[in-house]
Amino acid sequence: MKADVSSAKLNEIAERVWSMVLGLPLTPAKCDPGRAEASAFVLGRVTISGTWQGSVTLGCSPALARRAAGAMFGKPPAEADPGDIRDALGELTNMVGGNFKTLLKGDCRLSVPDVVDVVPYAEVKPAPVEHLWFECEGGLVILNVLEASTGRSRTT
Amino acid sequence: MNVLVVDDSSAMRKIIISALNKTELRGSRTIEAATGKEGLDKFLDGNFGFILSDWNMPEMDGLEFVTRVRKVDNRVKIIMITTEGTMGKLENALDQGVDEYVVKPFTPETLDRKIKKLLGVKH
Repeated sequence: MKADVSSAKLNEIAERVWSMVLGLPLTPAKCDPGRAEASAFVLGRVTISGTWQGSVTLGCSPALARRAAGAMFGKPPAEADPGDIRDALGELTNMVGGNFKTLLKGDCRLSVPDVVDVVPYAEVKPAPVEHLWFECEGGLVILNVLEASTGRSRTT
Repeated sequence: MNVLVVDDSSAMRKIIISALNKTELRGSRTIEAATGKEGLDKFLDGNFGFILSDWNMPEMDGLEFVTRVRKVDNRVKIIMITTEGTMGKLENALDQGVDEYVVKPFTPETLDRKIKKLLGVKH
């Protein structure tokens, strides 16, 4: 089954989660692979199984992930340890994925999130895909929704 | 009052406890559990007035946890904190013994409204 969720709705979900949980603004940004290819990312992922099969990933730079962990736990970013960073990105991914799942038709189940510490851009963007880019305090946030059947991300 | 917070995400437990400090339950003693099973063990060992539980957890999910709690206690107030916004599933959770639910992400004000409702406190 195809998901029928617009990119505008995905934008809204990501911006709402980011601002409500972290109190930080998340603004849509232009897709610019040249800017991302030199960067490393911390990547959170949840999988969805059921009438729709796929995954939702949320990637951001290690510095921004640290900033997010600091905001989530009310501590200076420099004091956020790797466990805080994994927990923070995992929970943000869980919320974005869970809110996306709610928009799917039929019965679907969300996995618990897993977080990969540092990956290159190529692992954030399985080619060829479209995905949503955001910016937060000068750092990149990349949201992907990947259908298992095609291996392609979808944003409409 | 003792409050049991059950969530496999330590991040979410911290968020919930931080939010609780801005609600009618501020000053309560909070006990954390990282799984439904751990939550059940702690619940059976303690005297809790409120439970705030995640739904999506490995091994024993929140709904099974609530069902087991309700087999031994019908008085404790239970709030499910979840990304699950599907009305049919939420209604099923209410049928299984959940008193209220809060959809993530949430604000402390939203949580406080639900808590006050369960405590019978007027806004």
